[in-house]
Amino acid sequence: MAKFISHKILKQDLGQSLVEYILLLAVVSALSFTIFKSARFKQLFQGQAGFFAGIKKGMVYSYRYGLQYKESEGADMAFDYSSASHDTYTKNGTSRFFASQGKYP
Amino acid sequence: MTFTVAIGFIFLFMQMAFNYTNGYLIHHATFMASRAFLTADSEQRDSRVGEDNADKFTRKIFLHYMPDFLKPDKNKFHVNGVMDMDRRAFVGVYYDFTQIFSLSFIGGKDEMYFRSESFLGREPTRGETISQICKRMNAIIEANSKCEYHMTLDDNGG
Repeated sequence: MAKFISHKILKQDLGQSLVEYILLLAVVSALSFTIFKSARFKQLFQGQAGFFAGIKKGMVYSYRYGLQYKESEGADMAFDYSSASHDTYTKNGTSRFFASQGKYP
Repeated sequence: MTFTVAIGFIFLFMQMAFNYTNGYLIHHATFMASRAFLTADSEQRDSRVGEDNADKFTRKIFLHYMPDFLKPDKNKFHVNGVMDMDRRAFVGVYYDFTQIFSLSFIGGKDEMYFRSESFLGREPTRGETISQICKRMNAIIEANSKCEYHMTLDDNGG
């Protein structure tokens, strides 16, 4: 009797779409999970390094100093006014501000 | 997955837009506070009292111009006073705050540390002006002076 029932279930195609959907969902989920958790993906999209890290530094730097960020020059974001090397005022020994050469009497 | 990434980018650009607009609002508040610090004074002859008074007034102005939804933190607002700063170029105010970079996994939700600065300097206090004028006048009228000074006393209304 049991043998007869199992044969009957196997012969019909009811629920085939559902099973295929579940299998497809499992494959896509596994694929997504693998990609999202991969070190390569994190490096590219999650801003620890690479493209987005550069954008972050650029936003913070240009907000403070009003200048375009250049990674090659480096930037002192922790500047605490203890020296004159504020990038907006003096940078690489030059300044866009001017003053009299001699002391005003 | 494509949909998720596309939505992720939309959230990233939305948050970046918020970062820029919030930043401009905070710059505005910082600048207005710096203007207040430039001119605020008291009716005292002691410059220290004048500067302390200016400090309090500047903080009040900053909070007045900061929108409430940005949740201003008064402990992160700093005043660089004339009497405490060795480098006069940095007399003014600054404010530290944080913003997240993105709302989604695209770009990451790390916090970014911003600093809004405005260094307009500070006008001499009334007490300082009185003491300088007094010093020059004494130099003219003192007994051994040979009137070798050329000067103009100017009241700028301060």
